[in-house]
Amino acid sequence: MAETSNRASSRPTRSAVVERVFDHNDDTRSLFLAPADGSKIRFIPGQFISIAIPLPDEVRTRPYTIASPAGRDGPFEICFNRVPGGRGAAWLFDRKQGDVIDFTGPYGTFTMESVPASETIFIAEATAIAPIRPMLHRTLASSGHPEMTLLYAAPSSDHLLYRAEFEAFAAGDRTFRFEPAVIPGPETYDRLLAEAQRRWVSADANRTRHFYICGVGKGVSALRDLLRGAGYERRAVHYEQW
Amino acid sequence: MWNLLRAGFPGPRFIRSRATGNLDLLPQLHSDIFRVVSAGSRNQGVVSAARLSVSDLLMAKIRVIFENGDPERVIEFDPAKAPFHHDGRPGSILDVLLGHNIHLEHACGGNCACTTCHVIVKQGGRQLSEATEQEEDMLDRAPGLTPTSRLGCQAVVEDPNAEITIVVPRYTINLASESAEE
Repeated sequence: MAETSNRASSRPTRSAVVERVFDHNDDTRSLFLAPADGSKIRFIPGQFISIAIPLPDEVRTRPYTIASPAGRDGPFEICFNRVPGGRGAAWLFDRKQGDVIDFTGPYGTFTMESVPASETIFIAEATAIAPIRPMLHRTLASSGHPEMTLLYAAPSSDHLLYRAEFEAFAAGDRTFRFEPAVIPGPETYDRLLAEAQRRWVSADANRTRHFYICGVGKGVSALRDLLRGAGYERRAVHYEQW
Repeated sequence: MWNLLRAGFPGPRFIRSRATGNLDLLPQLHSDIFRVVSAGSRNQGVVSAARLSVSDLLMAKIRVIFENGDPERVIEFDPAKAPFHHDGRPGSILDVLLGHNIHLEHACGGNCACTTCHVIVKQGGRQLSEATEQEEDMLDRAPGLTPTSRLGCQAVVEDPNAEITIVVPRYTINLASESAEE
């Protein structure tokens, strides 16, 4: 491991025990982590923890978003998929029940600190649903929340994570629309951009909506640019590009 | 370059090439310039037999000041040799610092998803890549934001002769994580 200096500003490291492992599909897994000191992790929906990945030659820092609702007792959940050549994800896939993971945080600015006052659109793909899920839980739990839509794309129905939960939300709350979409990977952002253009740019002149967008690659910034360019307030278009 | 200057060399002179319009080293200097090895004290450089290439002379420099009082550090490096590490954009302040064993927080792994690598550029800001909209959006959430704030993972040293001074703020943690109430 390379030695580094000036560590004075580093955050305190915490440890968590892998309490449960859940496979969503062949390449997507959740770990349920319980802080080793028995405390409850405090976080804002959308935040991530920074996990220390001990590799043979060094310790790497990699972020993993907390996918479970905030403010609950019990372990918290991180959700991730295999990445070709991704040493961090490979290491996490090798963790078993009872293993200990070191982390710092939570961190992150793609957060929902209060429930938006106007219609809110969530757009996500595959595992990038992780930060959106606790946001939805928070919003749906608040009385008088605005109308909400979740547009959720994945390359197969197996990769639409938490689908039953979202369908149950939609069935129980008429102000929440859940719109899953199975889209082959390369077409994902073309389709999402076309849908955003049609429904939230061309359809009306309402520019009071809030957007929370999370996904992989430059399609996320293309969605950002489309919406901001159409007149939505810069700070109403929240996004995180993985 | 800095060793040369410290040893009393006037530094290379440049002429503008008629062909390219670029600034080139005066041709005769190529045979006159030698590597100077610091003997440990000022102006006591020793001229060795090793000749310098132009790329040897084009060294960028980052001076790192830690607001928490840690000792100041100076890095000299060749931007053309980036990446120096594996986090942040190749050639970014984060990449250069980590590659020279200077720790700078980067909770998101250098992916422009947090503000823990926030630095304040005191000198040489124009010698860095321009901030993208994503970086600006992220900086909006950084505590202690200044007009010359940058994210270390995104600000790439582009000028091979850059002289940059940065301050690493005492508090780099996200405001959001400190104010979490859940």
